Amino acid sequence: MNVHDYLQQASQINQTLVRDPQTLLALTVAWLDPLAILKDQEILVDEEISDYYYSGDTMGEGLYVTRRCFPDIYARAISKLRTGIPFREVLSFIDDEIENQTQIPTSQFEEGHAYAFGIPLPWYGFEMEDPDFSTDHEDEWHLIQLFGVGIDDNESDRYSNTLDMPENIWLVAYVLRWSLWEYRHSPLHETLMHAISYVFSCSGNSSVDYSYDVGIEFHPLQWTPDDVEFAQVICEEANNIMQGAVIGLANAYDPAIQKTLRAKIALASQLVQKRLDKGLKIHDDTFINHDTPNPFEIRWDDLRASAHHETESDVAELSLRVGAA
Amino acid sequence: MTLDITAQELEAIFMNADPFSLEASEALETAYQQGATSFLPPLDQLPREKLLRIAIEVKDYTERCWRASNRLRDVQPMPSTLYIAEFGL
Repeated sequence: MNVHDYLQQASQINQTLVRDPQTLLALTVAWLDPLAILKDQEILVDEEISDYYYSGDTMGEGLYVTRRCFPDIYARAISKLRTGIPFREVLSFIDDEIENQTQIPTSQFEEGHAYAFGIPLPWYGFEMEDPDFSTDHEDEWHLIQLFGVGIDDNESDRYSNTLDMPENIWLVAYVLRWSLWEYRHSPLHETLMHAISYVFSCSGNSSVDYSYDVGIEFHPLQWTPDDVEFAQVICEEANNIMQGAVIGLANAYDPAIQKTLRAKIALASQLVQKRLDKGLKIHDDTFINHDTPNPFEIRWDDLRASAHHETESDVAELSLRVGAA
Repeated sequence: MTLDITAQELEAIFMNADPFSLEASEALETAYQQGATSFLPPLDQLPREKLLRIAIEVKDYTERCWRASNRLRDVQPMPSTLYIAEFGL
């Protein structure tokens, strides 16, 4: 028998086998969901991901997560295991596929493939008080300075210096961010809005607003279909904000944009102070919200780039911190 | 109304029922017809949307089977002749 005959016979046997409906059903389950056969269903339903983690079964963690939340990735991972592809490669495949489908940064686990730690989120926020902040994050620091923040460098040791921050700066940033909301259909306005949201942690998106150190203190989202869907929304929104923020930060070097922004900061500072003097709040859900995003009616029609706009928005040159839990 | 049936007869009824038809089974049959020689063919040729659909279908199917078998296992013995129909409820 030559190879061709052998393959033809193998194919023939397969086709004959599945003429029996029960065999066909059994083979179908073995093909796409073999754990349903290999394991007692009661164990499959009751088991927890930590069971795999504590037994050091990383592959088990990956299959647990994909079977629950990504059945297509699970089936393909099983198919790869069946052909003898090493565990390490299959786990990388699972990481990459989940990341491609959801933008959840599974390839950036601190501990490789540690699904038992919950759903990882990127944390783009930062600590402004960090002594190295102004040198490590020049673009963010540049925008912050436009809001009047400086370094109180009286101390000889730079690690003892503190930030000199204007009163109400966070409220002013919050007011300006929301005042840009109704202009968001203009890319120039939208990217500036995202830059202010990111730098002053007022986007409303946890992934953008919190730093890694703060983010890891939260109880992580778990690998359930509902939590995955929620994490996916957070990650997609965060990516969108950060892409805009990077461009907005680059645009903030433009002299014409700077001039307009400084004027709005001065105006917003006055308006905020007046309201506070009356004993009224700024940062509550009733004064500024999606229905009334711009109660001070701050106009941004005059926001334009310089005629000879020398600031190129080079996304690649700006380093963003992406810490994964 | 009385139902005169033994456990063996009930089992025979289940065994003779029309097999459940799955899109995934059709996909497997198609793979064999197209000359797949491995017993459980690789999935690379399937479009992602279809694979997602049939993988969810099979997982739902296995879980429904498990729930159904649990329910059958927990059925309590009932008198075969019911003089008071509500008793059976």
